[in-house]
Amino acid sequence: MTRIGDDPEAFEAFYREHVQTMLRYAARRCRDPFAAADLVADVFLAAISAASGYREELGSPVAWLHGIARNIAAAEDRRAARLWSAENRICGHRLLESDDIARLEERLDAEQASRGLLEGMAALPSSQRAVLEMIAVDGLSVTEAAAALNISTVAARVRLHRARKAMQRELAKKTAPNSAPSFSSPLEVS
Amino acid sequence: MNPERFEERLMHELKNHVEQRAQDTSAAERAPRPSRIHRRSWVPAGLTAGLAASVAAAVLVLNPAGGAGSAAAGRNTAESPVTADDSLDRISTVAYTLKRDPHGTVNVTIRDAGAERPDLTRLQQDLKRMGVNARVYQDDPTCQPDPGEDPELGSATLKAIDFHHRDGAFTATIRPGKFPTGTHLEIVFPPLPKGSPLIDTIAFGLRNGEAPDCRHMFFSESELPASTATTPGEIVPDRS
Repeated sequence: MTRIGDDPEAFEAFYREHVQTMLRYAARRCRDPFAAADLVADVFLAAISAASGYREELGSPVAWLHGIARNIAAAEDRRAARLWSAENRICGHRLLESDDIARLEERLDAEQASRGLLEGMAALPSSQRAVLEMIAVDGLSVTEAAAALNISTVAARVRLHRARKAMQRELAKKTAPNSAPSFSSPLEVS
Repeated sequence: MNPERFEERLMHELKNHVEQRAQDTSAAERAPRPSRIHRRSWVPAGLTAGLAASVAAAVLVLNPAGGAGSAAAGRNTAESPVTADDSLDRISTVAYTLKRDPHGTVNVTIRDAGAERPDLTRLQQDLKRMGVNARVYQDDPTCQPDPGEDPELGSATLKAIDFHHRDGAFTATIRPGKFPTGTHLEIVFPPLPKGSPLIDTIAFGLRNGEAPDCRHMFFSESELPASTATTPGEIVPDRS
């Protein structure tokens, strides 16, 4: 893993293993194919830059990459990430061709429900939201989410529990008084 | 239509980026300590006001004056205020790398062969982004020949710029904080060689006042005067 920053072949293996995961991640958070392509490029550029600091005890590669993606996707970091990307002349959306755009648009459509779910989490405290996003939306395990967020598994479980409760309360408020809220949603994570 | 998907194209771009990083790291590890190399490699040479195109060495030209014509890169850069983008500390392309340290010193590495010649307009813009007020030229033989250096800027140039050649690249250390008021960095690339991207000479210097539109300082043998008066402002590092 630590070699992906200076070994092209090691990077290729890493990239092939995770690019689809990152495309899904981007499709859940971006509203157009161009932004999604830029996000994926930025995440891998940041991974290349940070690879030498990776240590196995901090979590699996996929958890590490989600941690990077989360930082890159955060609004405050996007500006710096774009600058960094431009600096290196690798701009995801410039690599898109018409058939790629069509494919990504299909992906974005498929992830519409996930984006709605993410928007529904907006009211949660950021620490709870982060755990819930990674587990309910991105499909990470509690252990992986904890590693990505650099917190203990116990803390991740506590935050997840609180986030789910808060979301259930929000859903209950929005539901008509006579109809029972349905909790069998993606928020139900074992 | 390109049969490759976005994922494949992005992978190739990123692999090239990784390869470039590896080469940069390797070159940095091979490089001896700059201060020692600087002392050893700089050899004062008695040259004429112009530099014969046949000289296979890096040249630091101390504020050569004169010239008019058309520019290789945008004219506005040298005149407009330069504000560094503080979030940038490294810019890397196939042809050159710029690195800035916390004190604002910018290291410019330009590969001399086996790579593309730098895009001069982009190099000028990238230097500006790094906080260096610079003007980058391609030598233009149709431009008025360079009449010689400004002696008043000689010592300032030595303080502001270190320049040497090693491991297949020209390396200049630029200290924008040492630029005298009203001056800017001037970089002149030699005429394009036919059929080869090899760069055997580059001129770095400071210039006072308005930037000219073009520069001509690399002369063919036929342009050189018969006498070879020494120009103290010109220093040639030994490539050996």
